[in-house]
Amino acid sequence: MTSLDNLSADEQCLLASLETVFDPETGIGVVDMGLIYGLALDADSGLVKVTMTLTTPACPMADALTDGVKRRLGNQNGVQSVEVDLTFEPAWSPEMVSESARTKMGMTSAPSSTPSDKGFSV
Amino acid sequence: MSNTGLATQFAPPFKLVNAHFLFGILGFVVAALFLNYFSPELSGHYLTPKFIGLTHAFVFFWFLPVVFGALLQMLPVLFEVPVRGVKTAGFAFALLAIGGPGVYSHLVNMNTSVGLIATSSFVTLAILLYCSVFFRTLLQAKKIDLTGWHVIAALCCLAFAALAGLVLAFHLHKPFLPYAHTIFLRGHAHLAAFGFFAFLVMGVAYKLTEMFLLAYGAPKTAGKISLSCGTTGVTLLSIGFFWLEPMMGILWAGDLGTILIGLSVILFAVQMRVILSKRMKRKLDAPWQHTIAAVVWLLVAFTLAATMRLGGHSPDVEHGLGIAYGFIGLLGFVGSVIIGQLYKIVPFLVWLHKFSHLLGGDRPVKPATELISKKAMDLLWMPWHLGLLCLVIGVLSGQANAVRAGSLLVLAVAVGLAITLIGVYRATPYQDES
Repeated sequence: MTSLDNLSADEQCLLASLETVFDPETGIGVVDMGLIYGLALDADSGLVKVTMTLTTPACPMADALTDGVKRRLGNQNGVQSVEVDLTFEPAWSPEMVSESARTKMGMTSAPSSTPSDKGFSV
Repeated sequence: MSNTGLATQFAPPFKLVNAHFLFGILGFVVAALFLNYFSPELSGHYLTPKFIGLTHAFVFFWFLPVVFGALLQMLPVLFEVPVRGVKTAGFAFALLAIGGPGVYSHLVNMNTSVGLIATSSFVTLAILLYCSVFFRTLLQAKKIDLTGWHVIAALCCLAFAALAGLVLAFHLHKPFLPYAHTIFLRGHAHLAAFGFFAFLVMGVAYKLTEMFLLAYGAPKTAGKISLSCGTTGVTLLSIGFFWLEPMMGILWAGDLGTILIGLSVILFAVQMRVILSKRMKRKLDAPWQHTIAAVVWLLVAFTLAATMRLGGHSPDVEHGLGIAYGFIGLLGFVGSVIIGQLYKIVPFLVWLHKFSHLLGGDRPVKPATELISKKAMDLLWMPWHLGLLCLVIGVLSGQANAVRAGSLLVLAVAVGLAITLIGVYRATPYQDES
């Protein structure tokens, strides 16, 4: 799995380019939403590997967001191909949202919780 | 770990969902026109053919098409399964589109000919087919959560309500029930209104609130108890209306059912408050204001129901309470929720199917929330709730002018809603376009 630690200058540019790929409901970019867990560029092959998540496994925008990431990165210089690895470990939580996005959404503080998808029987 | 889409690949054809929504949006305008036409006859009477016909117009023209379209789109998303029986759903839609207006025209004119049975059969068959599609779809789910159990309970009630409606059609054509059909009608109405619409709204509200407002992590204890109380309450109330009260004079089952339904409503409100307290998006826009107002209308409806159940009123008061209860339950609760969620779902769907492939391209794409006019949503909020208030006050006080004013406001909102939502379908994709 890729990570966001120690990104090279090129990788940071690629990450910044994802600003225009946003959650259509909040209008906030996938990076600010904390959906991108990792990004790695293989400079030789031009392959970009992205590890990302969704706010919930049942997110109806799964295809739109992953395809948007592929499309955006695929249009950048030096990128030949893009692989998106969708993961739910760790599960996305509100703490992952950036400060600027929190302000945009009018959040006062991030609730300390994660999505719950436990079933139950009646 | 996966790199494939999870839910959208299971979605039914956009055309099918769209057809449901467009029918429902225009159906609301038609039903509102009928409401205006018959408004002088609505104050001070009880269960007139006009009132019964209008109720079915709102249900068949507006509520059911929108709800079925939303379920076709949402079940695959919520339960990560494909829709089973897309063609069946298309056929059911055609049956509903033909049968619904037929039932309305027969009821509103109190025409109990064999045509009423024929059109009622169309609608009943359509509803049973929809139920079969949704049950088959749900059966594939790996696990059923609180929303899923609500949907199952709602579909069971809908199937029974539809069959009860067909029984009534046969009875109106050639009477055979051993007691007054108005009592049977109450069972039919409560199965449809609380059993179907309320369970569905409650279950879906929990999930959509989490998804749209990013309000995850709330405990669901109140919701689980609410569902248990609600299902037991509806069962008791139905047994009471269909059998115990008219056949044996036993009232306790209906009374207990009413109390449990009331408890269910209160616990639903509590659960929603718990979920809303977890939301990341703090600002509640027009769609959510409608949803919260719907919960308030539901509490008012229950208060009226409990008042009627306690009895001791003059026939006139009782009649007025009955019609006001019907308007509040139907338009106040169900209508408000549907308007609010249409504001959310239609832009979301249009964005998903028409613009999502442009995301990440060279030109910045509009978010789904920018496809709909916020000004229009804000503008329509007050007339809708004011209109309902006028209707209720007019019915309770016997003031025909108040009923007329309320009906006009409802019509204005129906037209405004149609224009606003059709504007969403015509929206351009890029932020640098008007």
